[in-house]
Amino acid sequence: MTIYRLITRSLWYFRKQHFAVFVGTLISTAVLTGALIIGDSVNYSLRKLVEVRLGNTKYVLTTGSRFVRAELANELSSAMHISSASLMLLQGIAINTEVNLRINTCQVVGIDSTFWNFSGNSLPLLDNEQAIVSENVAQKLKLTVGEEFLLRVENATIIPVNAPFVPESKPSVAIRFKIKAIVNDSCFGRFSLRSNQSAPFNIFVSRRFISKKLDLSNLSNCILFSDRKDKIISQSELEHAISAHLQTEDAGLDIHKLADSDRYEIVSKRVFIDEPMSRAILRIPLPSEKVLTYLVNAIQFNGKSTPYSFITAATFPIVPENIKNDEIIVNDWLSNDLGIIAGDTISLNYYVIGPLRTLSDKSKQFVVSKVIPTESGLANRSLMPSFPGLSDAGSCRDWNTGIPIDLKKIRDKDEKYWNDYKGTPKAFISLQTGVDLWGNQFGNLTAIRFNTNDITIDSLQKAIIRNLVPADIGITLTPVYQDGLQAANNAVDFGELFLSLSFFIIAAAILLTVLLHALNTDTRSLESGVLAGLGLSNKRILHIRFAESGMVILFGGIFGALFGIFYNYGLIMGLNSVWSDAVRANMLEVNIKCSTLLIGALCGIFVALLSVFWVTRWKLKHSVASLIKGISDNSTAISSRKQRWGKRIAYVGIIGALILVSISIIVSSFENAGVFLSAGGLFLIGSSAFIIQYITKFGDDSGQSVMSISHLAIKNAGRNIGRSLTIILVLAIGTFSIIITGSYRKTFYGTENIRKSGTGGFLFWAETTLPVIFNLNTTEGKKNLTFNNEKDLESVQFLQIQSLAGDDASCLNLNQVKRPRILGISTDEFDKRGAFSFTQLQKTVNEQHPWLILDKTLGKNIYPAFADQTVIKYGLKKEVGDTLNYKNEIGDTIRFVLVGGLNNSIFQGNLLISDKVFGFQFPSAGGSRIMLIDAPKKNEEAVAEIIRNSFADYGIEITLAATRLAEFNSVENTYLTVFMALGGLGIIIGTFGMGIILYRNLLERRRELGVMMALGFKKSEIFRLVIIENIFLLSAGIICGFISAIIGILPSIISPAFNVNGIFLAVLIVLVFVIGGLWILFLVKSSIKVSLISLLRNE
Amino acid sequence: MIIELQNIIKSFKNGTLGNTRQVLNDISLTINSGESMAIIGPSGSGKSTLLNILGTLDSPTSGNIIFKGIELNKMNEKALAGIRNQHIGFVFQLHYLLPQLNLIENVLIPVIPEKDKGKRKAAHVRAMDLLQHVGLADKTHQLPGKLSVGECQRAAVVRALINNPEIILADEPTGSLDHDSASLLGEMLIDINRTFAVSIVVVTHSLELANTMNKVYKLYNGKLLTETTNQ
Repeated sequence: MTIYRLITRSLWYFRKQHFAVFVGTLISTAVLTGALIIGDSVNYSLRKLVEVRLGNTKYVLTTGSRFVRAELANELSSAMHISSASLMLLQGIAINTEVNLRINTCQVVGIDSTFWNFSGNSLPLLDNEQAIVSENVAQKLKLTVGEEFLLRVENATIIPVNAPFVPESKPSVAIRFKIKAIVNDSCFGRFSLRSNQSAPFNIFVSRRFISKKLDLSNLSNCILFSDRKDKIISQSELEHAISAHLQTEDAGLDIHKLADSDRYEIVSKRVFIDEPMSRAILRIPLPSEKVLTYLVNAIQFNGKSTPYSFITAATFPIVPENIKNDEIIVNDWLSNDLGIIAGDTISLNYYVIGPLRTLSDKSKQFVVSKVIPTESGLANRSLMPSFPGLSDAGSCRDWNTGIPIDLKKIRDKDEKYWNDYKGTPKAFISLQTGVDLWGNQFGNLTAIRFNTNDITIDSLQKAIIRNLVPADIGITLTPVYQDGLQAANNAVDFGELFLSLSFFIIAAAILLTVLLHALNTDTRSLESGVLAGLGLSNKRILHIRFAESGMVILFGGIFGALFGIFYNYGLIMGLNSVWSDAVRANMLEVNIKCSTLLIGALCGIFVALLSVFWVTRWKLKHSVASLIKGISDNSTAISSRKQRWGKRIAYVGIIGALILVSISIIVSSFENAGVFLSAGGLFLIGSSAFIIQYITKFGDDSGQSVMSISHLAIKNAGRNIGRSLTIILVLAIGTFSIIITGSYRKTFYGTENIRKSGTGGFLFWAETTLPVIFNLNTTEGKKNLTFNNEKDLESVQFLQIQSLAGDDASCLNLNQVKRPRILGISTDEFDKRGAFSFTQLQKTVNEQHPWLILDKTLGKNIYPAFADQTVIKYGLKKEVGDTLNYKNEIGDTIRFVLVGGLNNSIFQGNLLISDKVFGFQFPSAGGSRIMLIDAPKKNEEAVAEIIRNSFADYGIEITLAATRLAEFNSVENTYLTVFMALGGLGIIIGTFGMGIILYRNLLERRRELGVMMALGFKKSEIFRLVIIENIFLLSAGIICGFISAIIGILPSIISPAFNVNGIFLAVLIVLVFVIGGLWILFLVKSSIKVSLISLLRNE
Repeated sequence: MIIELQNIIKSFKNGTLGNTRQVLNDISLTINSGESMAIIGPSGSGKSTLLNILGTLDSPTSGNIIFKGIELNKMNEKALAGIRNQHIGFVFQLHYLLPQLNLIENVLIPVIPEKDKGKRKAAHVRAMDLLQHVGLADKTHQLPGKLSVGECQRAAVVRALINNPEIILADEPTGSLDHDSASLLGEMLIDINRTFAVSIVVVTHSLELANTMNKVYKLYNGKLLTETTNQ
């Protein structure tokens, strides 16, 4: 006889009991492993998506709001021996006009043949007006190959739309395209440079064709680079090469020799030479002339006025060195027109152009210091910058300046001046004064001149490029592939998430395993006693028991890990379908790693073994004699101590819960949900202890009265307090958890109109693909709206928000993002409305006027910012007080300090800064793309219709702010649904455990029931007796959990936004009760079926 | 002398009432080699408790147990298990054969701790001999469930003898048997006592069985009252 034989014999003999432990271990391990595999699967899918999105792309050169030569890609390709592709990356709106279907945000990719090399597939070359679309575009627009659709492409321009004197242009260019091919994911159907699992709507067109259509021929705003086959190219190597191959044309500069002059003039295609560019030019150690020419509305003197004239602010020799800041030099023509002479004071009226083309009327007085000839030396028409719509105009009446021109003011002599001298400045001031008056974020100069005798044009170009840091003008190289992998690797940890979501089911399965093992050990305590009596040490018996159960657990763990794969398939199916709200994708694939299976199996086995070891040790603690007798040595003594403790726990739990709730109600602190949750938890513990006390008291109260069946039933429930407590606790905790989880679903119904709510009280959130460059609250701006009844627009207010493209940091994106989209918001408007609420604010923030902090500067290029608390915590993995770094348009690093976390709002995924800071740092962002609309609820339909019609060509998506918030909430709510579903499964497993306990109880009590029959009890009475006992425990558990949960969610119940899925909860609780009840019914019936008296006969 | 009990007191605490009940009150007893002894007394008089203390299954509240000159009170659980395994044989009121093991396997359970292969083989041979001795040679591979209670109890006696103990402690060994089986088992115990020179202590209600032993003690209210010597 060996231990091995004893174990194998026991394994077989007690196979039914072991099978139950096997199932328990299998479930807990399967759920645990499944949760770990889902982490791997999501991670794998996101990493795979990086390949799908980028193909062979390793680096990407983006140019911000500029355009570089498309040829630059080829030059770099040859120099570095790598593949490259020039793209024109734009946004657009695709419309199937036949069936009136549209996609408001498409990614339009202007490509040439080199692009497909990056996908590893060769696709047909695109002719003009031919397009290749991704599958989702074809599906959404219901188009097939050969069919046509209308594409409105963003009217990209070299000059920023917000720059002064830029004429208004159409927001988009409409072109009809014929579909040449539809591409799936393997052929760049999901091509995107952004780390996001949501599939973009891709439309590939000929770059040459689209560039030409937009007057951007031979230009590109994005270049893809691959790695070299034989060598990994580092970012610095490539950056070096880019710097070496960059030309002044790539920086948007035009260098030419001025006609009839010994000057080279450097001008920008963006009209104003921006700061980093002028810095690079002026770093050339040669004398230069700096020019800033501006259009003023009027020059006035003594009641007379000369309209619309150019004034030049410049350095010597254009303007004398000794000119004072308040002095002005005028030309003959102006002098004659206004009748002014040296010493007269004249006034200049001009516009300063703000965001959304807001015009501020300004004026400044100057003293005439000198009168010069109209065209003389350096003072000539070449000083007028090349303003589109102005410099090329045949007459003044043809001017298209982007500012209102009052044609009535233009006189014949003005037309004649234009014909004779074009934009020759009529007056000159010092550069310093000019910069003070007209300097703007797009630049402080319109031209810089060098003497041709000092430098050649070639040297000048080289010197500028040498001094220029590409990143300073927004030309940046990004290791997009590496960044993508990093974002995927640091993505939401689904393993951890599902481990917590599956917590209850794992706990229930472990508890079931422990319970089953404890019951098995109980049943075999006699055997343990005999073994001890025969001289086997406790340690040896423990080893035997442990080895026996260990074998079962080992197999349970191995099979559990394998079942975990199926469980994971189920979860992935759920996430790709019914729970897709949580991941916003259907591309998740199962990825099984042996190491994960091993870890899952080992964890499952370890936890089960630990539980079993603990239970076995505990059970073997009793003396041998008591094991043989089947009783605990000092069970009654422990019971007495437990009773005292139980009483204390009951009092502390219940009274503590009531005190906490009362205090919170008295001080009206309903916002502190944690206190109520704690009160609920306390009540659960207290009430469970109270019920146990009640049962025990019944047990102690024996013989004092004639007992009824119910009385006896409750006394019976106290026979094995441990088992009864287990049943009550499992059911109570399960019910409590599920109700609590259900009620924490994020809802806002009834609160969406409140300013402090997540909608800010705004009715609509509208987002356009193309920027809106006018202010909709002005009379001028409202002219752009299409409406029949002006009354519909009464009390309608627009809050236009400028945005800087970035990654979506909301819960809709699983990847970790570094730089979310920035929104420049009007702090005054938000403050005035007291809109939104905060979860956390830094101490420096005024709690009464939190928004105003955003207007402050915390240091050089350091600004405060807000974001949703969930975005800060989960999307950015940061905390309030942390900093996010961005580059502004002139290449400076700007730091945004997170000074507060918004409470669950429609701004999820964005970083909020002041519009003033935004305009200062990102002037080229151009127009607003987001609108918050305040409107009366009763006009909801009419306002939505007006907005929809007015901005159809802008690709507007207008949604109720409440709907947008609901979309974000749906992610979290889906997780809660998963938790509730898995939790429900956990409770059902708990009822199985209850069934098993009941089964054991009945087995142990069959003789006792037989005695009762012998004493004259009818079967129906015995049936009632057992049913009452067990239904009592079942109901007690559920009721304890239910009442505790109600206490825990009191703040939610009182809130008008309370919208728990009551039906789901009710069904779940009823299901638990019914399943538990069925167990009881089935087991009791089958026990009573046997002739109980026959058991006595056997005795 | 095999075992000597010196002033043994055993008391239990009543949990609900919180008081203490003394079951054994200053018991002193000596068991010599080859001696057979019966302890009789009414239910609840502490007979089984006394037997359990003799067999190290339970420990006294106070007093000493000396086993072959060694004080057992000072021994740890593992050493006590070794004493039980090698020197004491137990027969319970119910046979307590493990249902999952056949007869020979049940009999050989006490050999499990033995590591010496030669001794294990010898034990197997001895088990077969003993089973033949008690008339169970043809049932060695039967599971306990297939045997009568009397046969199981006989097998339990063989199990108690397998490690060649100096003493067998039997707690109501005939309590669950019919008259014939009880007589047979009684005879078997006497036979074992004589054949193998093993001391036997039997706790019983059966005067018939008690009278087959050399000495009979009466336990009443925790005190060992009288000693009767049978020739």
